[in-house]
Amino acid sequence: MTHVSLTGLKKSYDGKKNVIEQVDLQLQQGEFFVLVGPSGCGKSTILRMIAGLEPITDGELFVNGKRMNDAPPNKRDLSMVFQNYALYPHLNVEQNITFGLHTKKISREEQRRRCQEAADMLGLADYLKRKPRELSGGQRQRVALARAIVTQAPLCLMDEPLSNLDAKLRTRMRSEIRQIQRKLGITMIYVTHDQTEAMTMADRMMILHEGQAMQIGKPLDIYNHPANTFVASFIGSPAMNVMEADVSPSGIVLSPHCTVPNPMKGNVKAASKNVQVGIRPEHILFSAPEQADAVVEVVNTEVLGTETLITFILDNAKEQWIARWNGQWQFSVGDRIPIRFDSDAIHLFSKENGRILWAANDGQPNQTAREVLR
Amino acid sequence: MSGQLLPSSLSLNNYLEVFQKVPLLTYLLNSFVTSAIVMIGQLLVSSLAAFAFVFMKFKGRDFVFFLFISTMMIPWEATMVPNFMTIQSLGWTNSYLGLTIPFFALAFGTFLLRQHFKTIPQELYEASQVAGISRLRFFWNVILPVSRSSLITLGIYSFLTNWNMYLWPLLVTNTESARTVQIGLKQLQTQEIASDWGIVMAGVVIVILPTLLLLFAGQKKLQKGLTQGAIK
Repeated sequence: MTHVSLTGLKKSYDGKKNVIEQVDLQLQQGEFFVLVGPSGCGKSTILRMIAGLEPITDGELFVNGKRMNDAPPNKRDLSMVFQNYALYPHLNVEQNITFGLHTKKISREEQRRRCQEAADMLGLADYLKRKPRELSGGQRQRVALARAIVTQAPLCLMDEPLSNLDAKLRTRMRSEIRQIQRKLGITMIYVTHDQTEAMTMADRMMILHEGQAMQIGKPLDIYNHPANTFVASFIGSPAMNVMEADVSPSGIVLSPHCTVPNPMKGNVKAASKNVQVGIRPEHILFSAPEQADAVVEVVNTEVLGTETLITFILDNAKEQWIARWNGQWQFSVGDRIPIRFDSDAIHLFSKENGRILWAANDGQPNQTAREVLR
Repeated sequence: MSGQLLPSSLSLNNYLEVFQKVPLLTYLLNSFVTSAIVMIGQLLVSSLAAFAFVFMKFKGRDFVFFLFISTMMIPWEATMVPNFMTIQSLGWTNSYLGLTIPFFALAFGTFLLRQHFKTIPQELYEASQVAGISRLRFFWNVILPVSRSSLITLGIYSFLTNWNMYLWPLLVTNTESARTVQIGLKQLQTQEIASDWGIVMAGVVIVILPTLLLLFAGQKKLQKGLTQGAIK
């Protein structure tokens, strides 16, 4: 069942330039939807328009089939978690959690019961009498979550809720939020600039860039089948290597000494143009010298324990490439190593507009992954 | 004429006499009541105005605010005569109304509170909008408690200013029963040809007392409130 629907949503502050350009979106009941993009792309603005904190310039917003463009925030039946938590500093945790429940005509006992329930769920039961300033960042975050939970609103909006937490806590809260959302079956719209959060949490996600929706889809589909170079380099860490290259029917010329087979083979029309080549770091492989596509010069290595990131340059080109190999590899700067490109995993993008021309495996999970799924 | 730096004996007679000579108790009460009313009025009006300037969006908000602030440049004495005529035509002379109402709107107080309200995150307002809390309730339950220190600062400031006011009460009161302490003090001084300085000093001490008490009690808050906006 469609829960939230945006059609042709636009936002403009000065009446001339649109900061949000034509966003269309249907959210299913119980879906975890992530809006992701770099700062200033308009993701928070969309969220605030859905919440009713920002007027909608053009287009329509439907919640449960009802047009909600002009409804005040409290009539939209939603809860919201803010980046800085927005806790009331003079109220204790319990008062913070139940603040505003009285407007929904909920009895005191019921308020207390819900507060207790949410506090138990989030491990806040021992802190109910404390003031926000006596809590750690993670606990404050939980109070903000609890406040959203107790309203029992079917739709929850979150605006970068984890960005003030340290990396370890963020990882933990990520899975906690996801579990709570599943347990309560609420529809979630989650804004983040962190592609890892988007990839790990989303049922579906939308990538935004300068107010425009670049792509909407399941995280893996987007990862495997990015719509353009922006999405390709935004999703995935480290980012996909994207280079300009000449394509001829015989192959893709990455540098004077390095040509890889053209995955499009017969598609001459696109092949005749200059294109951009995208290849993910994990698809650049270490190779035996006789099978190598190129011998490259190492610029930097980062050993992460289970994997190693190797930054290298190809034939004195200006761009740096990154390869990701499993295991621990020790190279010194300036070492020359033979590498091979997994030619099945090469993406080709148009040079003019960055649109995808050819995706690796055409968006399907690769062979080994599919076998595991079976 | 011989003088001694320290008196040979201590006596509280002057204190008793000052109460007999002028109705000091009435004056004290008048001053206290007007100061309290002005304080409450200023806090209420200033905080509501500041709330509007910070949390409500309307066209020309900043312009109105600067207009508001620019009234601080007009000296009080310049507006005194028109104010007096208004009060007179309303028939508010010799009453608490005339002594208090003209001071309710205070540009400085609005400015002070606005600066403090601006440090309150907008998200608090948005969160309460999502929760469905009305503006007035948000103002009352969140903004006022959160800005307690600024409110106390402004409260003390306005109480003391009013307590020490001389010219306006002199204008709008002419009966014993409506006068305030500062005028009473002046009366002590000139009632006789040679002022009895012992009595005058006793009166001054009594009048200063509330001021001092208030200052000591609120000093910490006053300092905190006045410097709060400065370092952030």
